[in-house]
Amino acid sequence: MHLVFLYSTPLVPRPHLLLTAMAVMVGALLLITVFILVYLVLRRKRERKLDEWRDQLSGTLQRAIFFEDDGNAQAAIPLTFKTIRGLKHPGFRQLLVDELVQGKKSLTGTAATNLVLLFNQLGLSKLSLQKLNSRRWHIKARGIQELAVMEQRQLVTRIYRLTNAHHELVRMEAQSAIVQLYGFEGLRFLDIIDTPISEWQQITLLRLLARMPGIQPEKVANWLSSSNDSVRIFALKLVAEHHLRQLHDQTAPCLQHPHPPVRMQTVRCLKEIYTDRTSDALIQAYDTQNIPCRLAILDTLGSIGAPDNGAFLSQQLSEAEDMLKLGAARALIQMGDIGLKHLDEFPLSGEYPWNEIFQQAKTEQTA
Amino acid sequence: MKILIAEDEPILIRTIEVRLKKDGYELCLASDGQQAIDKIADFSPDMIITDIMMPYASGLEIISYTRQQPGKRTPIIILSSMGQEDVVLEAFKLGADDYITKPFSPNELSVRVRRLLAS
Repeated sequence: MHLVFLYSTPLVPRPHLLLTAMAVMVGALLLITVFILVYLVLRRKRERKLDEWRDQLSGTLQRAIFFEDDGNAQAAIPLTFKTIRGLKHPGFRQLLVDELVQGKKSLTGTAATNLVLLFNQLGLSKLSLQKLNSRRWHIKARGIQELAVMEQRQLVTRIYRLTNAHHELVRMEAQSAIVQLYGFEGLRFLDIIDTPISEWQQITLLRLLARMPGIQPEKVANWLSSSNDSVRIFALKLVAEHHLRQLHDQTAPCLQHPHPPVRMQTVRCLKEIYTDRTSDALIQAYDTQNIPCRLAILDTLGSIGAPDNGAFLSQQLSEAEDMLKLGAARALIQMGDIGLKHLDEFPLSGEYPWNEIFQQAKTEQTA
Repeated sequence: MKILIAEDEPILIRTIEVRLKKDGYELCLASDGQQAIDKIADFSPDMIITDIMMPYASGLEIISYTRQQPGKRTPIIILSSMGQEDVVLEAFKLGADDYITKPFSPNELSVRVRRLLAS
């Protein structure tokens, strides 16, 4: 009732209400200011502490990086007194882990080996393991990354379990970690995962594998028939990337897969590993494909450039879709003189829209 | 011989510092790109070792700035990460002389520095 009265008489001056409102505003502003100040002070204090700890760590890290064991396998990296004292503090230990991880990522050779040695010597894997048990995904992911960078192979079982984790980013981190630790062998998680591997993760894994030898075609062949579509697509990418021509006959049947992304990847893959049987497989599969797959097939046939493909490509110039006409024309031009002859001999080459399509395809080629 | 090192990773800058001091060079350290640019005139280095990705000014900006200065041509080594091939090419276009990809060995850097200074 009181509120209704207030709103219904807006013109009546009530200075005490104005004062109250101002007091509330000033109070709120003060509170916010105090909060910001406290936050800044705490942050500054933390930064200073971190700088202090970093200085304390510096000596030990340099000793580790330039440590020479003189052939004694049991030799331990000497720690400075400041480091020994600091290790009692969890924050200090975490900073040490961060510095070791950063150092390991930036250095190679004896320096990197010694950083792992220091990590093991101080039992810092316990800290990373604790993170693996966290409920928060980002902490879990960080723990996985630390263990992978510091080459903690004895904990592979713990990491392996997470390669099929519910959270995508935890899963991605665990899969990358396993590959980082075991190379191609680490990809055995592809046998069991029922979750999709994102495009980004596939790129990450391919990039990691590019630097590692030991690809096993027989395992890739198994993944080509996986019930997990993303595993199948990833296997096709592996075949293409590593030019596994011996898997051509296991790859071609993927053109009949019910899902278009798998079929599309198959066409791209066959382009990289084509044999004298590829054109026939592509031509047979052509009619059952959607337009993007058909375009990819036309491009691949042009790229293969077998003279027999000319007749098929020439037929496709009569397709109802202009995109497909253009795709066929591009493919014929890609084939060189034989393809150009087919274009010239096409009965409707002087009529619209073929005249313009052929012109566009030829201009693209010369550009 | 005087070397300016621009690198924002504390562990890496300290490692390079220790390794190159051992080789007898006089060093000047900068933890970001702008600091490095500010120090070039005063320190007048015989060589610059710079990371590419740094706060305030990048390694590429350091190279451009150095190459715009009249007088002697200071050799520059860049520290790049995997997958930065395009940036490395850009750095060479701007006038970098050599590059090392992270992760690298401190000994490898030492050898490259010696070789570049000798040439």
